[in-house]
Amino acid sequence: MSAWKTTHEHSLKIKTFDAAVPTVDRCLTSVRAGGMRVLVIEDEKATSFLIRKLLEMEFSATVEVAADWAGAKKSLLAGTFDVVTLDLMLPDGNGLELLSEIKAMDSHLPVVVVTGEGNEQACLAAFQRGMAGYVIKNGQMPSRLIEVVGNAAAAAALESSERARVGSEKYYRSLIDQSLDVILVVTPAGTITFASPVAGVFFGCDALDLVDRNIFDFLPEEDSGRLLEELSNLLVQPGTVGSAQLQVRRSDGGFRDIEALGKAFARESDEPYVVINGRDITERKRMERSLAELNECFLSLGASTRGNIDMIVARGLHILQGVLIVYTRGHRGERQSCVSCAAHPDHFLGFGYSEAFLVNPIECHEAPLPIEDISGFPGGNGIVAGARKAELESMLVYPVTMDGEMTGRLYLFYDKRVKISKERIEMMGMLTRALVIEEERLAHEQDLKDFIAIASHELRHPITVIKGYAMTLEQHNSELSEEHRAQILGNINKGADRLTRLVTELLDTSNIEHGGLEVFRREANIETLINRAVGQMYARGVKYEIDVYVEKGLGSRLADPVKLMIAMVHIIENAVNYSPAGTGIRVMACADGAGLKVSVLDRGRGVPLAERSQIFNRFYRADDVEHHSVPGIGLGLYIAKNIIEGHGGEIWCEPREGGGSIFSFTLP
Amino acid sequence: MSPGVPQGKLGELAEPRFKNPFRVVVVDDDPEMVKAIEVMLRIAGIDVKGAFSGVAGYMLARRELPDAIVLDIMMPDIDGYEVCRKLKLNPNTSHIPVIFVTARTGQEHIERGLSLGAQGYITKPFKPDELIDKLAEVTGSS
Repeated sequence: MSAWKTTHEHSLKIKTFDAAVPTVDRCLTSVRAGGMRVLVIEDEKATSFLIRKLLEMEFSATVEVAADWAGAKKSLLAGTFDVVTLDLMLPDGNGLELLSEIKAMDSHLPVVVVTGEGNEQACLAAFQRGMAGYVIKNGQMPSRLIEVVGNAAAAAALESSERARVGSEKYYRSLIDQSLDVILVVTPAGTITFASPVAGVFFGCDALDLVDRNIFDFLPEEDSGRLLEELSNLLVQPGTVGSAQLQVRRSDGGFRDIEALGKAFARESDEPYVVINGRDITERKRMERSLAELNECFLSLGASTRGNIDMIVARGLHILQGVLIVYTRGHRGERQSCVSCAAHPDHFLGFGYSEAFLVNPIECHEAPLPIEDISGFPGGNGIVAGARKAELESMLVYPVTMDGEMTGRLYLFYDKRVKISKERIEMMGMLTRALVIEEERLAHEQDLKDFIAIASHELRHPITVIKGYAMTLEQHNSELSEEHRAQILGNINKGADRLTRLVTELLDTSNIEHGGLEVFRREANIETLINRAVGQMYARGVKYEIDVYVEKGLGSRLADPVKLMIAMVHIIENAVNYSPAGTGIRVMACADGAGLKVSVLDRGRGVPLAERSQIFNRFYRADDVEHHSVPGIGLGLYIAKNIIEGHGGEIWCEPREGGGSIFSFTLP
Repeated sequence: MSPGVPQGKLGELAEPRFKNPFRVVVVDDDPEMVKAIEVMLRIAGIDVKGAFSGVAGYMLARRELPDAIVLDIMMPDIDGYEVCRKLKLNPNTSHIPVIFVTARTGQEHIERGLSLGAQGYITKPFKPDELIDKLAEVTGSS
């Protein structure tokens, strides 16, 4: 059934709503009101005169007379007429043939035959050629002519009006057919009197079958109540627009969501009705529900990061309506692991076990990879092959990145072909962001554990030394010589200094971690600062020769002198710690444009290229930090870097010609 | 001038706890720690030699064949567990009692240390007498 036919049939079921529909009576009145143009084709002058007078008097018509075939044709081509009267006996041709010719020119033009031939054959022939009426030239001609011409003109006017109306309706029907909206016309009781083709698609049946059904039959109870209330409101105030979001039960039992706008029209002659324009918002509502679920999932996250990761993965599967989800994770050199959830264990069949995802992961470095048709996806990647084996049909892979580094992937599978919409990908993105937040928390917790483990371990050493000497002194004070007592006290003091430095480093680190490293700038003489830092190193008993070269006239810079000196001490201490005995250390300072550059040069073991970017990380020596052949806790360069960057400067490390390293920093 | 031996090593007393001194090797990569333990033990009359790495400690123990070894665990070259394992495998040193002195406090570390044949596991910080009593016990000097 074509779209037009469907619509046309609908039109039969729509109650007429145009109050000004023309009728024959109305048209006749209109014809009598004047303005009709008539062509009279008549060779007898007396008859044509009579006809003209009759028409002018009765209809106030404008009459033109043609006395023969040639004149008639000339008039027809030159003018426009509402009615033609035609004598069948013309001097230059057969009136019947002229009738045929006139109808061929304009089939809608009514032609009334006025003839002296009163035989049936001529009448039949004229009818067959489409004449509108037949008047015989006899005593009844005047009254008969007026009647026949009037009726013919009225019928033509009606037909013309009907043609215009049908043409116009056809146009508007086609607009409705093309509309993507669901269009319904319902009565106050909910009876559907019109349904657009899209409405049929939406309700899951032929649009024709919706007509005369009740719209409330398609709605759940709660939505029925709302619609009823909305319709009542609209009907109280016709012309106002109401809206509602409703769930519609389709003929196949499924549900779809519609956003409907309604407007009531009241008519004097008929009961009011409501036009409903609806839009299918099923997908939007599904996304909204999924987002709400996602939100609820995020709100229910608890204190356990690992528990949260499990929950995000499991709820993600449900929210995105997949059958299998696998999250492969691994961060900061941590062993890679999998968190997975399946609607049914069979969904793992193709892969064997979730760890298989770690063996040969799908490449998706920056962008998510949607695969709507797994069977048609090229390549024999283990995961795609596994998915085929498990009869999974669509999948989506989303990269999980932390600090610009890809740390994992989130795989989602469907056992039927689905469209991986933009919204679905965005939801997956939200899941991965939630996972990243949990991973960051996990990393932070691990950092804290490391920090506490390392700090407590480090603190035990100087405490052991101090406690050992102090107890020795306490127990054997009187037995010890004054010289030995002084030595022990000196050792206790050194131990306390070491403890102080450790605690200071830990506190500085804690401040940096909490964004509390504040820089208080004032005029600071760089040479003085460097000399003080070197002096502090000597005061600790450093046996290395430390040379200082400062460019003449370097003067002062705006800097935090206390923190800048701490940074310099850490950099020089690093050089001391890693330099073999007997080698010298050099500190150089010079102007660098408007700024300043300070370098510390050593002859130590150097820093391999791969480690140069990591050397300033917190606990960089973490694997080595529990050893004490090199004193310190692995925080010195981290603190120095933060101080320099806090000043807007840069710090880096490079190899020194002839062996060793150069640690440099600049200040703007 | 107080009593004592001013010219002697730090910690040497005229009247130490042990009249028949025994010999101990102390292995720790922190020189300050080795020095402090040396002083604590010397005061008790124990003869002490120190080493600052796992390898140096193992070599020193093999050469000196001391009456006991005080061993740190976390050292940069080979760790204390490995030193202990080697000592226990070597017939010349397998009889020497080993006491771990370490900042590692976890039960798993203690169990691992003892499973390697060590006779004691002391966590830092400790009281000098705690170590001295343990050494006396394992060397049969008390």
